[in-house]
Amino acid sequence: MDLNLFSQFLIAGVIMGVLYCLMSLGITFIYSIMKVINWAMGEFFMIGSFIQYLLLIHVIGIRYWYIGVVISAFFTFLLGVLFQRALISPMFRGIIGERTEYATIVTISMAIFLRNIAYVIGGPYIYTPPDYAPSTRIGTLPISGNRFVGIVGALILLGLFYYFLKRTWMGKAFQGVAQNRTGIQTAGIDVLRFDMGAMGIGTALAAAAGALLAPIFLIHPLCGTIPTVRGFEIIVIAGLGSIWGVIVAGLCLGVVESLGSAFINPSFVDIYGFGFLILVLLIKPFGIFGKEERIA
Amino acid sequence: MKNFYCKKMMFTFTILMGFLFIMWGMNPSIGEAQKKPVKIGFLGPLSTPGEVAVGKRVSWGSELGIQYVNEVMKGVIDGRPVELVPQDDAGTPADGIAGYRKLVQKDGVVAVMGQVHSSVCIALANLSKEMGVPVFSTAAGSDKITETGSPMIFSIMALLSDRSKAFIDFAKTMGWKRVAVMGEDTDFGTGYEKWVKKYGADEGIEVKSIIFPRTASDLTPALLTIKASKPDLVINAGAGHPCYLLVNQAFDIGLFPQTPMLAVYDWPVLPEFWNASGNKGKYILYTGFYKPGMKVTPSAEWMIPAYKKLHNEDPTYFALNAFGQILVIAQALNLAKSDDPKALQRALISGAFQDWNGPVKFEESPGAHWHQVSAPILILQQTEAKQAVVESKLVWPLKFGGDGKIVRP
Repeated sequence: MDLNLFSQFLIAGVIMGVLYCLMSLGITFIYSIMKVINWAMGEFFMIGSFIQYLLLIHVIGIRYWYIGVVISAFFTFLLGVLFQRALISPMFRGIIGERTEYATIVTISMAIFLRNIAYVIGGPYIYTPPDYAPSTRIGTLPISGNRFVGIVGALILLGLFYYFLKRTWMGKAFQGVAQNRTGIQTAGIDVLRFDMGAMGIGTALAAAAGALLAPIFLIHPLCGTIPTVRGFEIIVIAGLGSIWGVIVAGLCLGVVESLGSAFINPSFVDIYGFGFLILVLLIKPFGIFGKEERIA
Repeated sequence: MKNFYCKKMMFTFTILMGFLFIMWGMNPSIGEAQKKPVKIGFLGPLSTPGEVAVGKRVSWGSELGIQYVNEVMKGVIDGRPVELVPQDDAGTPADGIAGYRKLVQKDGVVAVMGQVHSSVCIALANLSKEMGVPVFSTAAGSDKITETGSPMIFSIMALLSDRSKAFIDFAKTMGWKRVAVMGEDTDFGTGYEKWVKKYGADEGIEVKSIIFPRTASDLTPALLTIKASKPDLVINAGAGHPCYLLVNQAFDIGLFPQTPMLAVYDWPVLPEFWNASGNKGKYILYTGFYKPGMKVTPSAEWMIPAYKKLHNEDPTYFALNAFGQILVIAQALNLAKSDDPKALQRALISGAFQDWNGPVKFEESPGAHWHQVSAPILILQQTEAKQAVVESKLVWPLKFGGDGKIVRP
């Protein structure tokens, strides 16, 4: 294999890795705050894609696609808050005993419900918004303008999210909730309100990813399945709850898949990711950035 | 007073019930009981992950077939109407098997048609041996379907092996030496890989193949591998959204349209494709089995304008094929003079029928040609985005008027 082709595979892998980071950021954030895995994240991704499509085709036009991303994220933020308030919040109010089981059942049910709503509203058809930008090149690799926009958008969102967590009072409070839910309550923080915020922000991130990546992965009721599968692969590789881990794991997964396709066989692209996951867990059972937890 | 009203209401209620009972008794006369509808099952993909765009059109063709039988043929078996019972198989064998059992055991259909996905149709071919109700492949082309030798399986569809042979003959006509196949990981995609490799080896054409997961969302690494092999033609053996992704992502990395891409069936004529790919789909080649303007039977001359009026587009081959299969089933029911599925099966193998484009006869030939009838295979090109099927350019075969030239950017 010549160097030019190798660099193309590497760049394709890095691009995909960045997009994977964006897909899994919301899942990690929700888990780190609430210690709940939201199995319906792929469906919020799908909702973001559908809202973006409707906005671009019927309301604001393709020229203002970036406004569509913001509106999609905002609408899904509200939906996430409502979802948390109505269905997840009761388990933190002492009503529900088996929280993990309850959360699993509720979020999976929600995923099925949202998917079926999408079938009812949009039918089983495939939709695609027009291209956000013309084709371009990154290094040796010719890529679509949509992918370029996806990478830039992902980097901006990752940067904003990092700034929010590290530089704002609210972000620091979120970090506190993530570190010790009981301890932070002694400082007067209402963790239930933060849970609601975390669910809203997490689902908004998924919707923004869906809106940004809509022209690349096409829109249909099952389009959230791949982001969910990849998202969970990434958070297990990263270690549950680690934001930095998500970035490293996402990039690694993208590159492993791409180079596996180049050097072994492109037919087994899904296996390389799972092979990498097993390898990481054999070496670091809690993920690359995960920490062993002591359970009282 | 209260008691009086109560009695009055009871009296009125009794009279009303009696009246309804008499009306019910009068309605189904002996003559009309004989006109009980004969049910035909439609089992095809009406939801994802199935190929919904094709399933929808097969369903439209079937509905018009039912209308034609009832209005023009005046029903079957001495004037009994036919009724279509639709069922979704979502393109998965599990849903297909459940759907077939429901159609046979609950709805009592005499035959099941509308099959689009090879993997589902293979499962049904095996199950139909046990259940004893004929199954028709409308758009599924795997050789394994008819190779089952099931007495209940019938196919009016070009086999993957015949299509693959045509692709290699086409490549040979064009003077191409290297062909790439990108197939999804189903019986459909892997079937193309197997047959194109076989016929390619026979003709001295180098074949590079990649099987990709049907659920894949990023095919860039696989396409980069294909691009590096410098093929003269890329065969896109996907169904549904993977084939649209292949077009878009091949365009993005500069593989297509510089290198021609050939779709293995006629999805490039569907509006769904152009919605998903836009101008990126321009110059795509596709495999067709019919081109508007071809000589057809009077039944198809009735169907084509009716279809256009209802759906505002030309009927695809699969829609016409579904229409034709309903007609074949109706003629076989008349021949059998019975709505027993086994009698229908005997009639299907003993008789000769007319479908939308000519005579149909199911022979018990060995191998994949068991109960199988094929349409001619054409290679056409969409030289413009959103081009109407009637304006597609016929490229090959030369004997049907193709000029052997493709339009390039």
